[in-house]
Amino acid sequence: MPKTETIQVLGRGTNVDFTIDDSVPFELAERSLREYLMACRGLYSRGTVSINVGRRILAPDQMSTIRGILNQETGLTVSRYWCSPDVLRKALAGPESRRALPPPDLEYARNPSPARPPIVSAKAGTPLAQVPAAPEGDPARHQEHSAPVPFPGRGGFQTRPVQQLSMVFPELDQAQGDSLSVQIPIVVMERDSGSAVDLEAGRERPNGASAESAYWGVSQQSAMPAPEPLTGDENGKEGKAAQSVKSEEPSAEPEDDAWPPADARPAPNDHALLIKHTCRSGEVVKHTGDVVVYGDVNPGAEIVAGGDIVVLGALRGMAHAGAEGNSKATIFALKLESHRLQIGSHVGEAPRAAGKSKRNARSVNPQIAYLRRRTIWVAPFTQRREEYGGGTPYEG
Amino acid sequence: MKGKTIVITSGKGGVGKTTTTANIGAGLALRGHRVVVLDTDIGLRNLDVVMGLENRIVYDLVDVIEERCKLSQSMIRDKHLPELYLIPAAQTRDKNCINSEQLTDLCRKLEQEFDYIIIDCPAGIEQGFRNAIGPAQEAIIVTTPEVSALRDADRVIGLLEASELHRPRLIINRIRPGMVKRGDMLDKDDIVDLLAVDILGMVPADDRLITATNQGIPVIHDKKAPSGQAFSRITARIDGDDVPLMDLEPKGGLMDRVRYLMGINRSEYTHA
Repeated sequence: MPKTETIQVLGRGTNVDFTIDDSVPFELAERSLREYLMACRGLYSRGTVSINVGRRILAPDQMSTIRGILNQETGLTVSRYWCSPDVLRKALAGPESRRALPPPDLEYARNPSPARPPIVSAKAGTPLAQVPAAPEGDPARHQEHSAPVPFPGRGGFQTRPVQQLSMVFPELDQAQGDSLSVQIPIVVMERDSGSAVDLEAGRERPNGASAESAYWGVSQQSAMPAPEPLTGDENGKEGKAAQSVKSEEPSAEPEDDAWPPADARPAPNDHALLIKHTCRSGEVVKHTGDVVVYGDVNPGAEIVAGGDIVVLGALRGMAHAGAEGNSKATIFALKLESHRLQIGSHVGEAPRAAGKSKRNARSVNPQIAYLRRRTIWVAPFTQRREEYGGGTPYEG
Repeated sequence: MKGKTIVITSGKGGVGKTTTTANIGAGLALRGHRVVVLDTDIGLRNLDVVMGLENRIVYDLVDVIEERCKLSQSMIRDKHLPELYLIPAAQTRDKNCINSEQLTDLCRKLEQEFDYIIIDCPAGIEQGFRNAIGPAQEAIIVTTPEVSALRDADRVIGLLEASELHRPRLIINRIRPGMVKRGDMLDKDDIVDLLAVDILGMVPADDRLITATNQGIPVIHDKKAPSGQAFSRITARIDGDDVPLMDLEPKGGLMDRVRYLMGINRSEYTHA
């Protein structure tokens, strides 16, 4: 990944972080961001990002500048700005500190531009991040890509794939700057338990709620949308009131209210995820589209794809294609040695005791697994067809 | 002088990390380097036993890190090699009582004095593992030709790569050439194919190694032991020499086969 002095991009797979130096002047940060994004145009595709503002609080016009840059250069949509609770607390702590900082929040609260409804989790209809008008800065920016359409058992849009990766490889954040996947649908995800500050919700502010209460409605937990006001009681109550009002609003204006906005929501199978390393034991890759692995998938690794899985190497780990119920999905590998495959909701186990077929470890035998009559079949791959036939059944 | 810190790790326990550490340390010292071996397996120390230095322990790693003694006081000179030192782990503490930064600081200090710092990593991938890989500039993975050990090695390689320790090198321990030839054991190609890392060496299973370990003398001092010769080659490779891999061939003679069938051969391999 290209790097400039002020912008650093780290990440791999479905997890990419932008970090922008928050000590440089805003103009410089802005320029570097634009240059960087221009340099790698095409690398990022539609989606939404959340922005951690770091230590600085910016004015609304600066916020919209960043939003404009991202949108213009990459088509990414900024869904919200957030920062750690400490920054918020400090920003509002003393009058002097408040004076020192531009008060974008109040600005927003006074002129609630009803451009957008509160952020609402796709499933529950509960507001994701209640909080309003956000301080805004350029700096540490978190763009996280994850499955926009939840896999079964996952709640809402604050999905887990990235967190899972982080759990598996706690060091991942610092790691592997060079193997970034391309063309990933990007969806907001909050990484850690910093509080979420929701720009959109801030704009949305209903008239009744005071600016202060709105400001402080900070949702503490990233995974759970339940908001927890940080401030005193009265503020908290007001905040909650505001939230409840907001959570009702989407039903009133359905067309505009869905979140993420329709254009930011990648369709299933929209993009492929390209993994340019060997997936080793313990690594879990989840993606809504197709997954292509430029290497092996070792035993103990897991690939879960909404679409097809193509492994340009040996597939020995767990592969689950069509995870959202697509029974037309296939799994292709140059060497298909998995003991267990899943397509859609069907599971198949390799018929023979694997391991005996290893005599010709170097040879390549392209095979494709497909689903027919509720059974997974594995056949030698000769060419791409609409319908596959023959092969060995992997009984469920 | 600027030394190099190498961590010996495996994920799975019991594959021979400690023995490998002792032998590589001794081997590098035999080649004239100043070497310190560092046992980070706090609470379950045994590098000192393998090196036969158990009786000399006064201070340990945790004492150094908590500044109860000077660094030089905790270093135990080897019986055989004056240029080889051991810093033993504490036996009465646990792995959470030190952290990666402290160990890194310690290793940076040692690098000023020594050519090689060899870290014996504990099994597992928890705090002890993170401590041990923190200071390392290079990593050596030890595995045995078993599926379980390979699975763990694969995981550890993933974790090392995620920690910016790229291109770890692999030692396959306890290979039984006879079994490999009969197809009952994974061979080198299978393992390298799976793990996709460079191979540093192969060590045959060897009764002499067990004897030597029990006596507290690294087997590398035993010129006749195949495993000792394997460790000499590995050490040379670490030191930058280009040595071919050991040729592990089962004995081909008629009498050996007869002995093997009768179950009285002591070891089924020899080295070429």
